Amino acid sequence: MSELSSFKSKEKTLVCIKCPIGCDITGRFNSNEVTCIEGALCQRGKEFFVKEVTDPKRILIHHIKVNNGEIPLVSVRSDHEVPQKYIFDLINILNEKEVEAPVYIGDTMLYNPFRLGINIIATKTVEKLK
Amino acid sequence: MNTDRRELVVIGGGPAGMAAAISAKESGVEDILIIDREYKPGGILKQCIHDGFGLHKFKKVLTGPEYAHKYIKRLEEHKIEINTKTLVTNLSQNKIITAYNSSNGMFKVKADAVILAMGSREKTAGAIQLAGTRPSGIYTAGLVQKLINMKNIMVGKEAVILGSGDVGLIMARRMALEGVKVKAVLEIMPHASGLPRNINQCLKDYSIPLKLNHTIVEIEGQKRIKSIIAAKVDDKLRPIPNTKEEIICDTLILSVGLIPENELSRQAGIFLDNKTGGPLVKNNLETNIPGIFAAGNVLHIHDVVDYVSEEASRAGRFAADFLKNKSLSQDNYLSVVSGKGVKYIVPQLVKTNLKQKIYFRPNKPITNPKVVVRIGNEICFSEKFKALHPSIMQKVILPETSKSTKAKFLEVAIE
Repeated sequence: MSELSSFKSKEKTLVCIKCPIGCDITGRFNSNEVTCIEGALCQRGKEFFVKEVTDPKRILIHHIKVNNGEIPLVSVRSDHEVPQKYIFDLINILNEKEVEAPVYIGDTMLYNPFRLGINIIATKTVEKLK
Repeated sequence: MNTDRRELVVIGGGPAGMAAAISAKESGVEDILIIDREYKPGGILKQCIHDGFGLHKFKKVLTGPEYAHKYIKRLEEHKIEINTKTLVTNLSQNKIITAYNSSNGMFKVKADAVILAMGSREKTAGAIQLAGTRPSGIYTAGLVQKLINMKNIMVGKEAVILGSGDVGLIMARRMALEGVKVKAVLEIMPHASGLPRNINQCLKDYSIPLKLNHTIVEIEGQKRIKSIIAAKVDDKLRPIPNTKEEIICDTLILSVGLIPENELSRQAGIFLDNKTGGPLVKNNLETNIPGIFAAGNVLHIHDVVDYVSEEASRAGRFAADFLKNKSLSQDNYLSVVSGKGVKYIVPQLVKTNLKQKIYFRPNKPITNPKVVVRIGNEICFSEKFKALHPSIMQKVILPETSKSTKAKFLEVAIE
């Protein structure tokens, strides 16, 4: 949800999720823009803050059922970040899906869902059960 | 029983074992065997389907299986032999490994050098002396991770998590995504033990409450767990009686830490450090038995897999040096001791005529500390840090010194 709706300048402190350091980033923002960011040790942290207060996004991680595989699931992720508000809708689609083994790492499992401009890809190889 | 002879045997095919074997090969060791008990190499990374791996090593954010894949590919390129679904049951002082699998039965291998890379396992309800009965529905976090991510088995509908370690936080999010109601994460300490970013993206994203200074004083339920009784603790970690609160749940997940898995090391007569739970090692990651090295979580619990790979690569190189008779001499080591504010240190034995990396973990969060290293009573090095946190392993790099010393100890302290 966008927090830029108010015209008043707001201040917020967020813990950065971009790396294990987890900087405390404090920023000021109003309805139009983020005006000041402090506490980020790198550029990625600053970008994270701006995105987090405008349109928070996450990499989606889940799994899809595999038939006749050496294990019954293949782990998947979105190849780019997806808006947080779509996470559960995507999970519901993935829960319904089933594929046949083999599946190879990097395979596209779901193409451009909700026209978000992302694909869901396999993150491991699941061989056919011998 | 035939005894094969191999130059180097790596016990464990997780991140440590894979990196150690690859770097040994790249350092000129030809004859390497990895032994792993699972169906595929990769260790616990196979079940860590979340992202956040590889930022240091590959400057890219990968999931666990993707991180493992990079090493699996290199094992294949280097044609490094791996026995999967094979369990090592004994390691002897003279480096004879006893193992079995269903295709060969029991067999023995005599190794010229061994790298221990067995990883760690989770503390259980017994290990933390959890109060109450033992109905079903109590799991360790890594087991839940394996059941949900690898076996397609859901564990319950309403869960409480005890301990705020990273695996627990990651599983809190996983369960929230799977439609499980995660009622609370309880942490006995006044600070979370997992990384700050995981508190944010795993708990805050899904409005899961984190209750610091809280523990479980009772477990209710006969066959299946029905609820837990949580209570606040005082500064000596004792439950405060009038703060009891019942939380209804059918699942309790323990994320209370890992223990290096050193049964084989003990059998071989390897000396262990009771602070790290892993072998006592020298600069070159060698244990008290010449030619047996250790790396990864079997040595001490790491926060980030990238550092496991890094450490294991060093172990691989040192094992190669040993096999070429280029080992460090066995005498004149200083014992490294944990001074004020330091939880533990690796390595535990150092020579000061080399440039030293000393890894340490503080015992509580502290801002603007100074880390001071003394040889005997003399300060040989100090460094200021912005902040230290028990969940983040830190290192100091000591310069090489040619000064001879009669001291027997090197102390690292936080002041």
